[in-house]
Amino acid sequence: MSRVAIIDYGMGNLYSVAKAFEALHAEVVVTDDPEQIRTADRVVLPGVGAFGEGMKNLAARGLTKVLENEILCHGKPFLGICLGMQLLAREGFEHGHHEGLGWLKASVRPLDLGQSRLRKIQIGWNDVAHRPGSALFAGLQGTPSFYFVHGYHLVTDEPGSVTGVSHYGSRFVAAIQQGNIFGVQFHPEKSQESGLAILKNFLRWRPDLPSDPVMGDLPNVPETSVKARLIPTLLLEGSRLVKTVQFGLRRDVGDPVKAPMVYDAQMADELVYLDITATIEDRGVDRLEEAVRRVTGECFMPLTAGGGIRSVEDIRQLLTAGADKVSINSAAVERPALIGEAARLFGRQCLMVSIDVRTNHRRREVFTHGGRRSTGLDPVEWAKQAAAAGAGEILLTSIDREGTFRGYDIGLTKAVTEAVDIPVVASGGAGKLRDLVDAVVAGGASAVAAASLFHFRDHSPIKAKAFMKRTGIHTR
Amino acid sequence: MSDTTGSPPTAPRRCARCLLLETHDTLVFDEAGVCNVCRNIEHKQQKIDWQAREQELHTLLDSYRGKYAYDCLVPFSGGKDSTFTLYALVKSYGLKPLVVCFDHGFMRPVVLANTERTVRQLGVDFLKFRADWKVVKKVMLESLKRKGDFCWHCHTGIFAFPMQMAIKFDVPLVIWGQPSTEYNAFFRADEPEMVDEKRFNRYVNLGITAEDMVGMVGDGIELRDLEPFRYPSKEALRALGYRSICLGTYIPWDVKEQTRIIEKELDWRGDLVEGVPEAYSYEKIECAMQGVRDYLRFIKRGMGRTNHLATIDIRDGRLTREQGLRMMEEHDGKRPASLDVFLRFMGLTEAEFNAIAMQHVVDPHRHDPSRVQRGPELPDQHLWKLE
Repeated sequence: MSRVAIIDYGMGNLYSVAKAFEALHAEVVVTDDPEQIRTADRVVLPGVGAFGEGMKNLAARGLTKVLENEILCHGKPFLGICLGMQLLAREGFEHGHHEGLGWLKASVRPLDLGQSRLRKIQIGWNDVAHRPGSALFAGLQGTPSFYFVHGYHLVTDEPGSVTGVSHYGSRFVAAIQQGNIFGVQFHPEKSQESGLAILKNFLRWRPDLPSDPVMGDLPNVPETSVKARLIPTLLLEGSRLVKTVQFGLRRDVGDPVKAPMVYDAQMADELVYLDITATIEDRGVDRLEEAVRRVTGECFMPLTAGGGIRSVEDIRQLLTAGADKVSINSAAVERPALIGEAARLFGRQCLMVSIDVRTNHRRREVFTHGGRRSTGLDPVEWAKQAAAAGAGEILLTSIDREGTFRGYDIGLTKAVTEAVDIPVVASGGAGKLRDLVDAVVAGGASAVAAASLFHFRDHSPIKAKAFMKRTGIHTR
Repeated sequence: MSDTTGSPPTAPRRCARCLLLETHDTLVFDEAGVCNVCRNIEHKQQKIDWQAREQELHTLLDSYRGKYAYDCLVPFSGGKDSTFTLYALVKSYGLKPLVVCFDHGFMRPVVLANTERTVRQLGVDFLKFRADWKVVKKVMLESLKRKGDFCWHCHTGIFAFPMQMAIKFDVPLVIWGQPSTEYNAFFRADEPEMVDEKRFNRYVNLGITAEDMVGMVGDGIELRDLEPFRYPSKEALRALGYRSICLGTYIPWDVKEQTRIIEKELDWRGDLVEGVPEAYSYEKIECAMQGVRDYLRFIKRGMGRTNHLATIDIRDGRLTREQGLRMMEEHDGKRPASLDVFLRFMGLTEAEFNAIAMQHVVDPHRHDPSRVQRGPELPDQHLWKLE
């Protein structure tokens, strides 16, 4: 059995990476102890967050040296995930210029969107074309989809080391291998079956075996076909999940862990998990953290957590528990500076600003505290302000439509998607399959959130995505 | 900002080959307008090396034979598929199975007689289980309201309870009949289908686990009351070292041929089913409420049981598309006489039933209640005892 050391340098997704390896029966230690790293068979550097902050943390914990020694000198198998791969570059340009570990002749730069009108941050599933014979992709057919969350990408001077490419406005590096050093831009721990296959291949790869078969040429990757995401929303209240109508009336809709497992099996693209009473009860994120931790142990798919977040410490707590993104709402309105602070620490890609909109005196207005508190803010203006402050994504919920089956507020969705250049998730009102299509096509939404549709109709994400596909929308 | 009312629905498409309607589960069409279920079947008929598969099966069975009290567990309903599966495993492969029947409570007289005849003739240990009837009634109503499908107790019980028994009796090998890829495209046909918790959650349990249901139904129901419907824990299954497979993964499934075999060898008998031509008397004969179930599907998705049966025969080259369409026209969409029995049992009026069903109509299908005619009563309906 392989003993895997997952490097703890205070940069998110440790727990989810650990759980994914555990599901593959690996022995896992999450650590920043040089001795543990020395005795492990394999080393994984995960990472969610900003480049500069990541390098600072590695250095502060004195990890740079032991990693160089174990990986570069002793040739231990190494896997860098997302930021964990980017840090191997010589330099990065996120929030200013920063030096990287310099193991790869590469730099980390903003995604090159080319002439496309794509959102600046790629959040979602994308196809990866991989080089035949590359160890990490063994057994994966065609161009499998993986989950990406990033605004920056690796630009390498050594094209021969690239084993997987994807396309977002232009071609970008999705996976590399240089000897014992593997790196992936996507999140295998959150890419369901294909992601677990990658991790399994990494566990199987052995430096002492005869070298890999000669790798073939990189196949062409199709031009970006950005996939619309379908996101079930889960609302936690106490020890159960509920579904509300216009943020009021509640019905029990399931168990906090079993229901996400069902969505995972039904090929949902992502989950949004919200503790809907935390802010009102002013009790922080402990209960949410507990739920996130349990869900992360069972579901290897992307998860956004929200409800009750007040500080960067709350955010850190949730990311550490396995959330890929956090959703902030009331606290962002009360103190918009929180958005910028969090973006600098964790990277904007993991920061979803949730905007709840209710009609008040015949105009749409932003409400906070579970729809109870009027703010006087205009939703479009607030969305623009949040995006400018560093939000990576907007979750846009119409309280008027929520739980009513009347369809999304397309006018609102369209106004916001046109005003910001980050992805917008439409939410509130999906009552039939056609509504999902309308939010994407007419509303311009990058993703659609739904709950009643799955709880009170004979639909599931896998069926709904087949419908979307039939109308010509790209889905996974 | 303006508001829009959304785009208008378009008429549902049918597969250019088999007549499946796009409202069916996870259907998508390729450039030729052919559906993914047809492509699955094509794969089965052309790409699979069945000799190699059967060899695999022999190897697999050898690794379990004689090592436990039972060589395998066979979940059993008395219908054609599980009867053939049991027959083949005992007669062709020489296994000693534990046969487990989850009784959903609506077994019809002919199926009950089939079951008795089969298990006595084959000489097998047979275990039958029925859940608390009052609990069943409550969860039926809840799942009807939430999903427009009253069969939650049956879907979950059939797939969860035998797994519980596998653990209880220490039988790691569980063998089911046909893979789901014969009828839908929830899974890829080029990978062997594992009958596991993921499959259970993906499409068997209507998206509702027992842990979910307990809070939904309320009404004094505790989680232990729903135990028969609960999938066993990962830990327990891992400790058992279970393997849960479909016989149809290893031998090509041919319903008509298999029915002929069990009729001849076991004196298995078919029965009339509501909304289905008499020639298909082998299909879905187990449940008294099959007619109501199919009627619900017709309201929701525009597809009846005859449509489903026609698709299979068209793919197998036993029926033309035109014949299929004519057959559907004649038999599908009738209001079954058994709905009276169902409504009395559930304590619902027909108006309430219709209102629930109409909530669950699936885009882009639209149901027109004014065109519905009443179907004839089955000869055994007066024998059904539900209370």
